[in-house]
Amino acid sequence: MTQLDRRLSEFVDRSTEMRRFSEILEKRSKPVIFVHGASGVGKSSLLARMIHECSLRGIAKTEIVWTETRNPDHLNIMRTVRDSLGAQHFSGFTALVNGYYDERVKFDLTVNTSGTINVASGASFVNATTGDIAGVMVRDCMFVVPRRDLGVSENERMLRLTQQFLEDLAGFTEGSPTVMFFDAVEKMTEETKKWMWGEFMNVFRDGRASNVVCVFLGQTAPELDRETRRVVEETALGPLQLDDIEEYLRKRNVACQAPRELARMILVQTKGHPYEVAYNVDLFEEMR
Amino acid sequence: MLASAAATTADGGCELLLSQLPAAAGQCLRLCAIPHQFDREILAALQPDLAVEEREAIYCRLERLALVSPRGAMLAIHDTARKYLFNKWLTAEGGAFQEASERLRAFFARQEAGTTGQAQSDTLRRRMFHWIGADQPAGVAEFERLCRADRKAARLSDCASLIALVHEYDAILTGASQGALLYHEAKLAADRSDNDVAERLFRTALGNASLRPGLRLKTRNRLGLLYSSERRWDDAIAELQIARATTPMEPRQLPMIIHDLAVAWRGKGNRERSERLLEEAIALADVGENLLCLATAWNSLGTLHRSFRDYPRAIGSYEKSLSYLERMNDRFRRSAVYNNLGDVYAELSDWQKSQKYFEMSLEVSRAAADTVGQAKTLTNLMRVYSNSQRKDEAISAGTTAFQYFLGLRDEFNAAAAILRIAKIHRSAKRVSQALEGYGKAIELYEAAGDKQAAQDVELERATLIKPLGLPWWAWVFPLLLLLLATAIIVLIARS
Repeated sequence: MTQLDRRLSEFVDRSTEMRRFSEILEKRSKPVIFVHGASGVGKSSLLARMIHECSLRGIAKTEIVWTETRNPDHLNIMRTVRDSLGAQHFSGFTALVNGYYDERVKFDLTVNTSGTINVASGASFVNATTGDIAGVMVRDCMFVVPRRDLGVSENERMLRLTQQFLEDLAGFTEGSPTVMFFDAVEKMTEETKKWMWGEFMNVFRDGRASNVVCVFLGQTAPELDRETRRVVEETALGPLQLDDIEEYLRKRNVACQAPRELARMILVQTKGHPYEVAYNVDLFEEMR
Repeated sequence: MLASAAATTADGGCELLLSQLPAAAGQCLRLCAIPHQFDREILAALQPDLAVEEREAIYCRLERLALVSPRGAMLAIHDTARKYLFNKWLTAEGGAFQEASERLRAFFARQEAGTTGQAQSDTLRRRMFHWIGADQPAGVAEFERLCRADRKAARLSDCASLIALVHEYDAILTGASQGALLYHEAKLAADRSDNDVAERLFRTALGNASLRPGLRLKTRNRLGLLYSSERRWDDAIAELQIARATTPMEPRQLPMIIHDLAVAWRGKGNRERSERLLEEAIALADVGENLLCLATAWNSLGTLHRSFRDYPRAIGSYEKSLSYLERMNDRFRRSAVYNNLGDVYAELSDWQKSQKYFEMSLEVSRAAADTVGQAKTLTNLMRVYSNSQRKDEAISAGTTAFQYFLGLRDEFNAAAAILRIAKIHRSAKRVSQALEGYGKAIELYEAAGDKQAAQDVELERATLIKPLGLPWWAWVFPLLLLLLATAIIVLIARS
């Protein structure tokens, strides 16, 4: 059993949040969900559960995580989304990236392929000849060195790439509902935050991506303007209750003669803080 | 047991847990707090002497702990617990932390060799982090190298990440390392136009006795430039004068510092001093064949002469600047100088020459896909066309500029462009188009947060809706009075 499987199997409570998430997936009443709560309150577990829910429903999804050593900026975010949803749907964006960044960098490309690659499957050619058909798609050079022969400002590059990306995204999601997860957003830098809430959110504020749901998870509540608040559903995660802790003990297979009493003790000591609850159960198990 | 457990959770809750874990597993957990994430390979790098089976068993045991959670394809110790353990390492006696850091540095150096693009950046950042733990001066030097590269490529978010990573070592950073960190943090704040923070950080860096002499000079210079950008000329001059007197200095640095000082004196309105300094900078740059400094200084001299309406000398200086830029094949800067020349000829009302230079500038901006440059030059061209009574061409250039500014979310300049268009329509007696332009300008000034400008346009628009002068009925009363008076005089005369 992997860490993730275990996390899913031990998931308790958060039924309100999961119900609301399911409703939003079905009715698209609000395109953006912002879940916030202190460290250890269970955001990552809820995220794992939401991702699992998307898999069960066969909904396309993409996940961006901020860490101390990886801090995706606007370009990284758009590239990651493109790569996970399918580069073929974002050809306009890819062309623009390659136009803005250094194309004079020469590199040798060695392609290792495995398995079967279907090329032009089901295609028919009438009165035409074909040359070579590529079975490998190079998404973009992945070089982030701005071209020196261009005088495009960073702001303009960002605006144009975002416009093109959102156009491509709207095109892709027309036929395919998509959920984007953004985890640990409190680690976003000021520049990325400004882009996210200023530029990226335009597609939701204007109602141009009716098939996309964005889920943000962070430690603090976001500071949003009125226009953005209209499309965002905020959820603050609270502590676990006695029944939840008892259910958690059961799911962890904690052998105990009086589980209700143990749950009550843990609740008193931890005030229902999920990380501390889990930690106490670990300790209980280790000591036994 | 639970009571003591709860008491320890404030520091991450790991001490009690560590006391319960077998010694080898506990040591692995401690070591895994040095990197931000870990996996089997990293654990192997940290504990190379453990048997493979034992390591795997420990890894599986750690994976099950609540304080360890998945982070992408890797595992991470819960934030609070990791911070607690990492800080304990920083203050621990002996060389175990340094050894572990060196092993991680070597691990990421090996990993970096097979990566490109974003993955390579991530690996380099992680290698830099552990390099500081292994060998602080070398690690901080690597931090500075990465920070400069990211800044050059306008990746400010990456600079911020690097700075945050170095801050994790705050408890053990030497004075020299703190100085370097402060300098780069201040530069980032200045890039973000967060001038108050930048000033505070530059000042703190200058107060650091261990700041490297080269960085001290750069800090003074940057602080001077920051003050100049805020038009605090006296403060700028004070800092730049200290920078100028600093020794030792690289020969290439001095002419640029003198140039910056001259610009501050120009801002203060002291033509003579500014001119003398610019000539000094030019002479020094000439000796060192510093073409960029020569081009910059001649351009600044042109602007100085222009601000005192000495147009022939201004034109001569700008042309000299252009000759150096041509030698350097630097077309972007040439575009700026063409604009300056266009401005001078516009001030001389020589619309033909002005148009020629603005069009040359526009050509460069177009070739470089520089929309900001094109929009600004088109605004200048609109002025030239308008003054040459070519109203339709002026409106066409202005409309393109307006659209470019709007696309760049530059509401202020878009408002200025549409206001000029409205004025041209007004002068051509096209009232409805003028009113439409005024309306858009008001909206855009409000969106840009410039309420005063919006009010001024509102007043100007009002004069178009209600022409100045008295209403019609105000003329009727005096006319009636005049008629009455005339009638009375006629009656008196007849009687």
